[in-house]
Amino acid sequence: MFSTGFKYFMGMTVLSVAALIMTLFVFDQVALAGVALSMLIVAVALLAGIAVVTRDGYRQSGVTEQSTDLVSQSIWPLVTGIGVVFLALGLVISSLVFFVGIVILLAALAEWMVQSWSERASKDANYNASARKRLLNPIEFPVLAALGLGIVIFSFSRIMLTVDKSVGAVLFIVAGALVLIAGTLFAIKPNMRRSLGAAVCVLGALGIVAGGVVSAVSGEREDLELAAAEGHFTHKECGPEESEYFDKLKEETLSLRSSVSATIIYQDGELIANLQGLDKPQKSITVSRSSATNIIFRNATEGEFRLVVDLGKPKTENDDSHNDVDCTQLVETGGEQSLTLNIAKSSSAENHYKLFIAGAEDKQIEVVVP
Amino acid sequence: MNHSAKHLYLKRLVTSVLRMVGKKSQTLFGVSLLSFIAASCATNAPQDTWQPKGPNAKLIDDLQQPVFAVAGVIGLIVAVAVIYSVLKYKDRGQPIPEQTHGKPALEITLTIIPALILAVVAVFTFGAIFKLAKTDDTEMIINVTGQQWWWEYDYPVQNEFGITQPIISSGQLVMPVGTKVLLRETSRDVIHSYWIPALNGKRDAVPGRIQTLRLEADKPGIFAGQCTEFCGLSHANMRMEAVALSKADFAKWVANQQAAYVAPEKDSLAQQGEAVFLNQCVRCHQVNGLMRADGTPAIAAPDENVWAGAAPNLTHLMSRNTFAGASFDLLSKQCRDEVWNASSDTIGAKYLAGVSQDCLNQKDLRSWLRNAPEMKPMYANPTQLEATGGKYRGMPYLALSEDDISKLVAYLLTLK
Amino acid sequence: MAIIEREIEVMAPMVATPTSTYGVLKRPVAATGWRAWVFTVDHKKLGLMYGVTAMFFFIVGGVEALLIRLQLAAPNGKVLNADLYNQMFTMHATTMVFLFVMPMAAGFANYFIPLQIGARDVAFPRMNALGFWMFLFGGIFINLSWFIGGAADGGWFMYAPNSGPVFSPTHGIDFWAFGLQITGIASLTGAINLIVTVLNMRAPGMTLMKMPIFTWMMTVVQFLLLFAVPVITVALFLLSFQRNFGARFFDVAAGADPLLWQHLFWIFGHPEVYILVLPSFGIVSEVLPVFSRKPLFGYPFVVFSGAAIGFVGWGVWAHHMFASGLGPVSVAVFSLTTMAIAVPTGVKIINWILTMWGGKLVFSTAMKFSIGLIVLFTVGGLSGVTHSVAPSDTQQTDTYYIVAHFHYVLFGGGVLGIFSGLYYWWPKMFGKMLNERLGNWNFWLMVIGMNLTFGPMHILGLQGQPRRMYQFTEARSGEGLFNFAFWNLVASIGSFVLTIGILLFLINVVITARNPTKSPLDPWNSRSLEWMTSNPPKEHNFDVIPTVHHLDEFFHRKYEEDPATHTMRQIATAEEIMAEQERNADAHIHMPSPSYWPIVLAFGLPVITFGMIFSHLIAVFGAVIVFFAAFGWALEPSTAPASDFETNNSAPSTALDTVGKS
Repeated sequence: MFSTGFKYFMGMTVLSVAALIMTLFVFDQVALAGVALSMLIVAVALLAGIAVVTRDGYRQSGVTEQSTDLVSQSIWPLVTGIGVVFLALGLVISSLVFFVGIVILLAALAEWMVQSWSERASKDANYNASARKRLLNPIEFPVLAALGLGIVIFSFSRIMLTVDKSVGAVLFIVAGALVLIAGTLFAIKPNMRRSLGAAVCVLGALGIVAGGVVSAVSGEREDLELAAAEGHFTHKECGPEESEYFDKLKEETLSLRSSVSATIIYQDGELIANLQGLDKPQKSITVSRSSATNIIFRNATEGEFRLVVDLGKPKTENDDSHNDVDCTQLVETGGEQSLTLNIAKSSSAENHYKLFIAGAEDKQIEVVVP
Repeated sequence: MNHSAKHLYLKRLVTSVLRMVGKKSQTLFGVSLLSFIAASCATNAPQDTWQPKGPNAKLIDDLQQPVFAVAGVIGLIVAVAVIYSVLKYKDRGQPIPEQTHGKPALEITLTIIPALILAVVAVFTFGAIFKLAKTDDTEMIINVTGQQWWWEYDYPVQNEFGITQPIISSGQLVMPVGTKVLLRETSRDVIHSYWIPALNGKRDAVPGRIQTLRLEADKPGIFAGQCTEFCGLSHANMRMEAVALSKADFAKWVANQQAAYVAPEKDSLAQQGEAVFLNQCVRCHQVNGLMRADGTPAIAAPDENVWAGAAPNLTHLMSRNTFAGASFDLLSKQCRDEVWNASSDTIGAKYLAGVSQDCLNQKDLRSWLRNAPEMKPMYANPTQLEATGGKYRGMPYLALSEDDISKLVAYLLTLK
Repeated sequence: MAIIEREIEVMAPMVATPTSTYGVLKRPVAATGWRAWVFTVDHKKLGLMYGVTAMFFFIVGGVEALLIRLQLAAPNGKVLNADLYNQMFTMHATTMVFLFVMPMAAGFANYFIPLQIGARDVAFPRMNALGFWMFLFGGIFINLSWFIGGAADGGWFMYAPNSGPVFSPTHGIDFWAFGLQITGIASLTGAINLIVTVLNMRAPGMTLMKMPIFTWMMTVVQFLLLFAVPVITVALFLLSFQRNFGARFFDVAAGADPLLWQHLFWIFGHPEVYILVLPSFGIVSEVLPVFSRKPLFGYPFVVFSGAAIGFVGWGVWAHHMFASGLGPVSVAVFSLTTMAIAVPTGVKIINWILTMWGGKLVFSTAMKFSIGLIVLFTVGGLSGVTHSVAPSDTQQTDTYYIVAHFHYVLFGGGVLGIFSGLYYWWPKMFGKMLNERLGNWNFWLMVIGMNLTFGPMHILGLQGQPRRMYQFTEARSGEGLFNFAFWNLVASIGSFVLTIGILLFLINVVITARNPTKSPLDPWNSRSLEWMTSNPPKEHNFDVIPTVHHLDEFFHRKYEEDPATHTMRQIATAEEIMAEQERNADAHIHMPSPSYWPIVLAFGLPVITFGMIFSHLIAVFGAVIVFFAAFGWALEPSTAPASDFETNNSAPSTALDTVGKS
């Protein structure tokens, strides 16, 4: 059932797996040995695969003559060479290049082996060509497709990171529309020239890749760069004025609209709380200790305001200078934002919690944590 | 098939069904059904769903009884039709019948009838759904927080009930009768479900959400409940009890809950127990008003030890009849029965008496203090706490000496 | 790829000079012994393998159920501890739903759909084999967790956040989630395969409305699977990432809403209920007409109500969440849709009764099981209607009442139907008839046992016993004789009666296997195409593909209507019809060739998932297996030329050889 070559290489694979497992359990220093053995496993497993696929190059007894045709051209020596260059470069430059070299080398060698096998498979050149195709196309096509799609998608993501938010939305709509139009065209005219369709697709892909390259060179849009540099959401600024970083990227969606603990509304110069289950507006809310409690802040007053929660003295006892705070971003008139409270310590005479509007500390709601 | 045959068929169907559900069998089935229901109800199970004790549960009950009855009748009709055809059309050598493929008129009739029945049911169901979801007539609010595996109750300030400072309690939900109480439920960890069958259906307590449940009791009494959403290891031990007190008794209860902390007498066993408590228990448990030796209030910081961040507040522990998430009774069996079996007139006084030295369930309380995880399965085993970063869920084994346990029990008894 | 009804051009380059082709391995050829089973792509063999495996898991799930009942037989049970009990009820449900009823239905579908529509195999035979092996390996994978640190303990509904890594630190839920993703692929490939088969490979003349009702119901099920399985796969995917890669899809502190899981789960979970019962509805709709000697009453109504259930089944999921706090509007809407789905279900019950009405009823064991189903499923259906009344449901949900409800649906509906099918089709599958006298005992013990087990649970639930409790206490049991303890004890006793009933079936199987008596060709005087071939059917099913003129084609070849009396008189026997077929047998029949790759590919998946849990290195190894297997598969033409078979020492000329070489 299995060819001798397959058994040999399979044995090697199993042995090297065993060796790897032993290395992992016996030695602490596994980095180098682990990498080496993993590589060996991949390599011999691949060889085992090829051996079993080609049945060790075994040919039926009836076929003794070799093909009399000239051997066809081959790109693989060249690619192998490139792989070796990458490998060498990688040793100097970076491990990434080194790995790329390994991948190129392995792929080229595998292709080379199969090609040379197929050319001696029979004396019928057509058959030999089709044999190679049947063997390798099932690998080549998915790998190439994945690579190509990956590059296109990655390029597209670069574009989206560079262009303005609103332009991004438009681009998405355009892309979707194009796909839809192309699909409709193919459906209406199924006999359209194949090369035409292919050309359109290739051109589109090239365009996206080109756009991606340009975008990558010009860098991400300003607010994203700022946000990344300043640790945007970990660095909240809860003052009344627009903050330098925190208000740059507005959150415009609410994940949970129903069943939140309270909706805090800033209306007619008053801050009121509408509690889930209570129909009268309240001036204090009760929050269960140590549980994530969602509230929504709605601004019904002209101007931009943020809701701040005062969380009392910070845990580190040595810093008494200011209280812990958490806040929403600035919310424009009619806008809403959510805030999740999680207060571990119960409130007491010494330990008051309150919600207030930044810049208008008198507009406040008491937070009771029993 | 021609028209008359169709007619005959229908007639035969109807008459035979009527005949089978005729007088005799009807009474027979009726009696057996009734006795069956009676037998299942007569046991006075504390969580019986067919014994409503408040308007919300009553609303559900009034809706479901007719539905059960209709369902029962339809079930009987089907059973009778099957039995009838089995007896009537048994192979007795009759010829192979005509290969008829159905009678659309009959089919459609028999489709429309159940649809109509369901439409009627739907109308009443809709009414009940929206009535049970109402919150605009609320008279009193109680916040309920579920945690593995106990419930915390807190009462926001509500001056009309004499609640001038927040009250926090656990194990037993105390509420006034004849008052529309609204529970605002949430959870600290996983989803739990709050269910007092005598007062209303269940409502899940979902972390991050506040969900409401209407409760109202007609008469004073104690009503049993049980967490009904699977919440992990000790789900079976997560119980609750709702205590409905007359308005006067409830005011007394509120007053007692707001009473200041009374330190144990000097040089008593209880005072030594207070020291043990300060040493061992205040990491997680809090007793409002308790001071450390240096005069600072002993505020618990359970979030550093407990995964979900809280442990029951033990202020006025002995005013409750249960402990450990209502898994165990603080009252001895006899005293407990006395409270539970009391009439609605006397139950308030009996409940408000709390737990005295004589009535204390020493055995369970002591073994709980000795080794809690052994009494109630909890994730308190240090070897299993990797995923929680060393924080346990539930009370751990504290390696207390018997001496310390006695002192603690004496101290806890002072928390009236 | 498609199975060959006519000779087609084989994809292999037959014209090329060499006689060898480039398959990775030579084709397996054994027609006997274990290899004939392991490498088979024959739908009948795969159907039987599905059935046997499902029966094995039925026993596993049954033992789990017995342990649960033993634990709950008395207050404060000590048979299992809390942890083990939670694992037990989780795995009982998982096993029964995913590893017994679903594969059992898949087995019936595999075996009988091609036979019922007059095809020689399914559309994608190797994919069919892949489906079986994935189901088997997935099932074994899930159950492996018992031996590696404990099984899943979050309930089969696996509500978040209780299923998160903090609340369930063992690997049980990892095994569960990955294993179900694997069996999910099996269901999905199976569904696509059977849909394509049914839509494309029906015998000439068989319009959709002449298709046997079992095939119809199974087709609806396959469509349900096709749309439901991806939903649970998404949910399981999120769960796996949450547990293994630190994702926070259900983490409230990170802004998630745990109800997301419930919606995902039940959007799958409710259609799943119909995936579980519709196959049995199909079986019953086959069995009742045969033993009533009458066609199914209102065939189009049954078909369309099945399809209606298939559609409306998607709009009722939130009735599992009436207590979750959805808000009154959602609750009202889902309450209404739930009532609506009761109507097509009711139509089926009415049609079954009317099928028997005026018939000539023969009470074989299969018939008894079917009649039992009508009555017991009705009980489950009606308790379901009481659940559609949402306020009432908030009292009963998560109590034993609902346990009673779905066991009447799934046991009274699903399992009784399966047993009916087993007794009905046993002679078809094995050429021998199960002992009817033992069958009678089997039936009555199962029915009595099931009512003793699940009947009292109605009362327990109404008395307020919640489900999923590893213990119940005396304090909450109530007073008097008929308290929790009493009804729990009755249920536990009932479960043992039920067990004896099922054991009798297994005994019956052994006795039948030892009994040399062969069954007649047409033991039940049946009506559909699968009976128009030998028992068991030949490798290629039919010597000649029949042309269909009637729904119940086989019956109409045997009987003719007397125009005067409208009664039927026999014009041919089954043997005569069979002989006629053999005389006109097709000369050239191509059958799909067996293959090594499905089992190898299927084996790679649990290796990958095992690696995901314990070491990514193992996952790489599994990926290599999957990769090579897919590669080898891609190289293989579906029908191999004769040269590509392994030399077979035992049997020089097997059926496969002869049909393969044409």
